[in-house]
Amino acid sequence: MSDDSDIDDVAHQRLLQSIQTPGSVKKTRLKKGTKQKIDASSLLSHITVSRASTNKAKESLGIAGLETTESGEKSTKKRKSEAANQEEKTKKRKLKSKTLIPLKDVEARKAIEGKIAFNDLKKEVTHNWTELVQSNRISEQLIFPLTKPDGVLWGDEKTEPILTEKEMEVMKATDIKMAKERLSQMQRMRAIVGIQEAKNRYMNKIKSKGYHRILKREKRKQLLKEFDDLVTRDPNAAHEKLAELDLQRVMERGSLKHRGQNQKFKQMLEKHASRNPEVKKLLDEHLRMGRELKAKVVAAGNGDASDDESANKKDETLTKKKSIHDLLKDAAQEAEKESKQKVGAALLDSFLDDTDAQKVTLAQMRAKKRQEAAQIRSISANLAGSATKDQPLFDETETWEEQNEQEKADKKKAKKQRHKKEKSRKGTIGVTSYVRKDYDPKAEARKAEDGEDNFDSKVDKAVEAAGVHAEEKRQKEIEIDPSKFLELNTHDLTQVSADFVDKMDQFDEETSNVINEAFKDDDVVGDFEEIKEGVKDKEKVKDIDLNLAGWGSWVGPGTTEKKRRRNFVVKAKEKKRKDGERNGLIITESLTAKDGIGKIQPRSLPFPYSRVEDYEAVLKQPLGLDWNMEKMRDEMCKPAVVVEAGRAIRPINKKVLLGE
Amino acid sequence: METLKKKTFSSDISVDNSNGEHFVTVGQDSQLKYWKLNSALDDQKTPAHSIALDGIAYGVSHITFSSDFVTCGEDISVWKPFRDTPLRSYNLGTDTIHTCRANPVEENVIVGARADRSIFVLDTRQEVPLKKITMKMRPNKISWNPMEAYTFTVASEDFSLYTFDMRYMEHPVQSHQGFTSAVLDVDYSPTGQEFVAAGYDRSIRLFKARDITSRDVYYTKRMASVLSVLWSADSKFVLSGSNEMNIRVWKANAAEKLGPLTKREKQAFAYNEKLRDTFKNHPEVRRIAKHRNVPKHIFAAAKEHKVIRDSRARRDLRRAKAAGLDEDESYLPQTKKAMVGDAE
Repeated sequence: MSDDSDIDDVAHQRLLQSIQTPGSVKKTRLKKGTKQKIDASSLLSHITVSRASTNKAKESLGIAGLETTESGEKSTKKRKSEAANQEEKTKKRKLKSKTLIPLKDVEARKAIEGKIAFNDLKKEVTHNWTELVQSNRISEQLIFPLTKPDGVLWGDEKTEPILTEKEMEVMKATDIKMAKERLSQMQRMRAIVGIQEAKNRYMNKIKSKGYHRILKREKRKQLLKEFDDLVTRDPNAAHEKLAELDLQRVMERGSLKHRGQNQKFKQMLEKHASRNPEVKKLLDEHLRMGRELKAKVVAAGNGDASDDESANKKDETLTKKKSIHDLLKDAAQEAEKESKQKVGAALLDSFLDDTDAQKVTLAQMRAKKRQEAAQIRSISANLAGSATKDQPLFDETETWEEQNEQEKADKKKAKKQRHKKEKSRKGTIGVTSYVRKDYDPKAEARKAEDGEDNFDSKVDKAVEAAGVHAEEKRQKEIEIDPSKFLELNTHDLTQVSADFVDKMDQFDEETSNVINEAFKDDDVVGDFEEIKEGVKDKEKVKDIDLNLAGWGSWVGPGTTEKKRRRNFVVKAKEKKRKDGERNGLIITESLTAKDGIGKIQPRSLPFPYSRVEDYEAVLKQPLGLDWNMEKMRDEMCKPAVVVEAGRAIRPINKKVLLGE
Repeated sequence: METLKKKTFSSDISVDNSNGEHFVTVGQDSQLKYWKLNSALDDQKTPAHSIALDGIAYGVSHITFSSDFVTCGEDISVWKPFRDTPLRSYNLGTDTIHTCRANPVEENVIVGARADRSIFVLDTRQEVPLKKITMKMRPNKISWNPMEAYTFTVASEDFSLYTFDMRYMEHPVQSHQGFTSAVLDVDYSPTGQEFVAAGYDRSIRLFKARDITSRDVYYTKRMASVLSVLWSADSKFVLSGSNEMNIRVWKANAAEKLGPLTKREKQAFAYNEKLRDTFKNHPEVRRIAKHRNVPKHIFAAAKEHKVIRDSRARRDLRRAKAAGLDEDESYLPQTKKAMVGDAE
């Protein structure tokens, strides 16, 4: 210890300062003592027992070298003095009290030590045992007492004699078992060769045509298969192969090997042709002709048939398209003949056809009408009221446009309704509504020309002829259960773009009528309901009738046969169907997991399996003697754990296992 | 054994398994007694050696492949035979240590349970306990798996058993349920495949080591609550000691035929067993295999417990939902529910 160590540096400094500044008042400041921090390093330094893990911990905190390196270059006077001070302090403390370190610190140290030791133990145990434990857990069979890894039973270890190499060789050479095995193997090989030879010989002798045909077919199949493979593997080679095959086929066909091979032909040749060369010639000729004819007929027949069909179709569609259209048109024309005016008919026509060009003609007609009406007005003044009414009608361009739009909007709605309702009404309503719509211009016409009742009545008749008929039909069909028709919920559009309206106009009403006509007889919804009823009946839980002849018949007076029977009927519970009252929906309930065979089948994949196929394969594997040889059965049914009664099973011996 | 300790209640017994010549008993008389095994069959009045202890020792367990043994009570002590003072003592605090078991494979490891519902692990090479975990209910007894160095099972007061992995003690790896009252004792089969547990509900249950539910349940009309169970060393029998002063010997596999079997019998039994195993997941097969008739009080209690469990689950779910958690987040398995706080 040097002399300097006695001088307290800080105090000395303070003293010097006070000397330098003589006027200053000495201040004694009370300072809060800083809390001593307990960190892992200080605690660890207390641990004196040197253990691998503690050493490692110390190293990681950087205290391991402290004791050793302190004496090196870093050792200053200051540190030395501090150390000396501490030593003195501890000495004093030792003298004063027995509790060196606070109890809290002791506990913390213990905890740290425990943690480190636990980690050590954990590592050790994991390293030693995990493998063995895991393998035991998943092994198919455990035979207790467990065998050591080298196959010697625990408890009765036997030391096997150690042999030299030469001894081993001799042992090998004189091993009867191996020799026998080898002999039997050679015998088996010889037998296999012999059998194969015999088989080949036999096959070569076969003369059966059928057999060879089958053989050939198989070969061809094989060849095709190979060819397919080749195509996927190597397209170029496949091309060559194909060429080769083609060549082979050409050669085969060219060899005239297959000419006149059938039996009947041969017989004929034998009977007649061989004797008579003329007959032979004739036959040949026939044959050739036949072939030629056959070839031709196939080609021509195809073309004709297709032509005819297409023509027919066209005709049919034409007739279909016109059918209803014509009906009305005819009626109109009939009326036209008798009337002087052609205006009404033209109007009707224009509306029937409903094209823009005809609208123009209609407008022209109106202009004419207007002129005539004006004439009439000029002649008779009593028609003033009607003239005022007519006025808007004679605005050729504007009003027509307006009306047109209105009508379009009407049509739009009507069409929608038609779509949902009138499909089932077989198009008849479509016609009536159509007629009703063009009733308006008719009325105009009537107003314009009072005297022409004739024409109107005719038109009315014609319309009624169609309309009333439709009405009757409709009445008939409305009586049918409404639930058997599809319901479509539609909303009226508030605004519709102009081109959409145009398109709607273009949609030919008649086509829809045609469709309706075509599917007139198909009651899809009704059929579906019928099917549903069938399913319902089938899946309905039935009462269980437990009546047995003679049982319960002695119950005495008061019980009728009916009552008695009722006693033995177990009533089925009413089951609510899932599809219930919902239309157009069948939910089959008989095939749920809880019924039928599902009751005894596993519903989910059990634990070790990840694929259904694997589990099924395990279940399908037959175990009994009916399907397996005895040895195989024993192998498959070997118990998971084998213990010997009366033989104590001791715990795993670590010393034996780890060879300590 | 009754002849040995007529006067005092002995709380635990352990046989020296290194040479099989001695066994140790501890009891309420604060005495540690060392007996010779081969002469126990004679009318032995006095032990070979006896030590007066400071306090009552509640458990004793031999260290594997050694004659040393461990006792527990106020502290844990490691003893050598015929010595009056322990080799080492571990003071683990003020709580009584009511059971301790030395690991049958790793000779240095001891696990025990204390009155403060904690389980601790001790390494006899160290000076401090290694690990301490606390359960919600008291662990009554502990048994090591003799084939797996790091697995032990705890019989708990909360009607269940818990299997721990010693290396990861934060929570048990498996819970075993089925008892309708506290589980008082547990013992592993020497094969390590199964264990037997004794219930205060007057029944014994056999569990497969990694199954939640019991494989079988044993009871008889006159058997009172079972205090201890033991699996025989050849794993063929199970012994039970119950409160009405009887020791019973049960077959470990109730349906097994005892005695020598012919080859064909063996084959037939193996075949039947294999069939049962292959189709065990089919609902009807499983139903039949699992079905056990149990006494009325167990049946009723099980039913009641189910109601309670369900209602608690509902309550927890409700609370979790109120706290803004969803079903998956809030779900806690039974193994985690059984623990208190974090492990030390």
